[in-house]
Amino acid sequence: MALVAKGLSYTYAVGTGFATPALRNVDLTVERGAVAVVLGATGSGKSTLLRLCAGLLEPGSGSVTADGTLIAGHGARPARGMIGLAFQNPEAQLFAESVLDDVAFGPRNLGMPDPEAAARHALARVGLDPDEFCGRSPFTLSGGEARRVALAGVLAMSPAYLLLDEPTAGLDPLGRSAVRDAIAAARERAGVVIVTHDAEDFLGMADEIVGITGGEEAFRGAPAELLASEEPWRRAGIRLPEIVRVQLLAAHHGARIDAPTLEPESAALLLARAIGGAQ
Amino acid sequence: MIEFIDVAFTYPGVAEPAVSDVSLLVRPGEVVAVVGPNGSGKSTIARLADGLLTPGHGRIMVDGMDTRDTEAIYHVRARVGLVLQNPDNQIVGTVVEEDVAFGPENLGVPLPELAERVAEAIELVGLAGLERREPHLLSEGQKQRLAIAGALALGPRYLVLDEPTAMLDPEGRTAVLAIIERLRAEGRGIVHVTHHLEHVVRADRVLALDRGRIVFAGVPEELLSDVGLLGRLGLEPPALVRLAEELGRHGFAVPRAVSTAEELAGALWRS
Repeated sequence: MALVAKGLSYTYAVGTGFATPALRNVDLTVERGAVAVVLGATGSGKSTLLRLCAGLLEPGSGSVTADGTLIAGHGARPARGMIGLAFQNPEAQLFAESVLDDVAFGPRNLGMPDPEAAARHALARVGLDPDEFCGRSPFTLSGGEARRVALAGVLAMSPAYLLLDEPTAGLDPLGRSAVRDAIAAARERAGVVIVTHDAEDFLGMADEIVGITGGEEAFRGAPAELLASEEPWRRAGIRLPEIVRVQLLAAHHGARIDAPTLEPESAALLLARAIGGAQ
Repeated sequence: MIEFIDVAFTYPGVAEPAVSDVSLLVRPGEVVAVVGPNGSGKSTIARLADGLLTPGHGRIMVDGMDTRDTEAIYHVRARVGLVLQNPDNQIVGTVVEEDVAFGPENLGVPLPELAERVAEAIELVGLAGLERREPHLLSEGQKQRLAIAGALALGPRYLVLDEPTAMLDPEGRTAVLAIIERLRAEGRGIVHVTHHLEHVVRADRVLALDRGRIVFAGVPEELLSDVGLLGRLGLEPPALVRLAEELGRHGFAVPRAVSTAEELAGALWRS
């Protein structure tokens, strides 16, 4: 059971003088229980990829299937309840009078048995106390709170596939770790696609990383393999986390480091051993 | 300078004050970083500094003018520029140069000077050549630089930036941080509200807020070394700073306030 995107291409404003190709021939597969992280600069086409995967845009070519059902492409059917998409701009997603109504809207619409319980549970999962937040108006939330409420609204529907656009942008460290925990819990049952330019936050939980530049795939692979060399990142203009770069710089100086890590503790250990050995 | 004297502010209809007992000083030519978790009062301080909000208790003086003085408020706002998190909410013009001209034009700045100010501001933020570009065709990073240019065209002595890089990719962030350095070198005073501790490394001073109160005021190294306080504030040192700390534990003499891999690798190789 997987979400499978094949050969997706998309051009905005096609047929006008303003036609802007945004994506060319990109593939993406995520199985339930797996996390795919799509990296790229602003304007690289990664948000377009996410909208196509959600069936919100009709691809110029290519197709998307969810558990075998065609949800985007020629002859597609709407993927009701299967796909949950959290937009980059949470303000665009919140509309109800109270946080509770907003988060419960999806479950209620899908005819789930207890929408309010699902909403409260989802709020707790993203680290927001339901008793404190349920009665608030979405328009009084801080930027970080709004982002988490929008994510709760998606989680509350328990979709089979979660598509998340910059889920930690503008969040403080506590908020970021709450969101990471919520995603880690959701992947128990769902497949997750995370689109981000903050490589640090999600590389640790990725099963596959895809780098996109100028609407095309620049690199793809498992984290262990992609963290071992800066070359593909540099060519794609995507920045490798600084902590990994320290280890690669040390390796360049002759220290023996085969598999750089994202964790400070283990990175220090690796460096201490390798440099101790090199000097 | 901008001076907060024992300031408190409470939003209407909310029991708890958003900030209280806040005293701080921003002098021309220095960068003061303000950090703290979401909801700690950082944005309230930014809005108080340019007179968008006025204190319920205490006073805020901008070059000797009280922000509560309705006669002086236009002068206060001309001295203090404010840039917000989301660039899309701050752009009004149909092309770049019109957007930058919007503020000074409204203040009645005469034409030859207006053109000069607009060109200078566009040059300073690195958007020269894009004067006729429509804002929606700019990248997010360029849009934020446009918002900064709009504030600069008013000729402010101080610039208050409220999480100006939150929506930007690493390249956009680097560009905005470089502009901050440049404005400091020009002698302008900067308040940089952020929750990225890696941005704090280059500030002259840092204030940390928790539930509306100042819980730390000092230099960046001091804050980055206080692991206990950072933990209580839910602030996480950047992975690179944590690596530097771990390497110290392994006996390497490396500084803690590092912001690039090259800096740390260089220090590591010398130690």
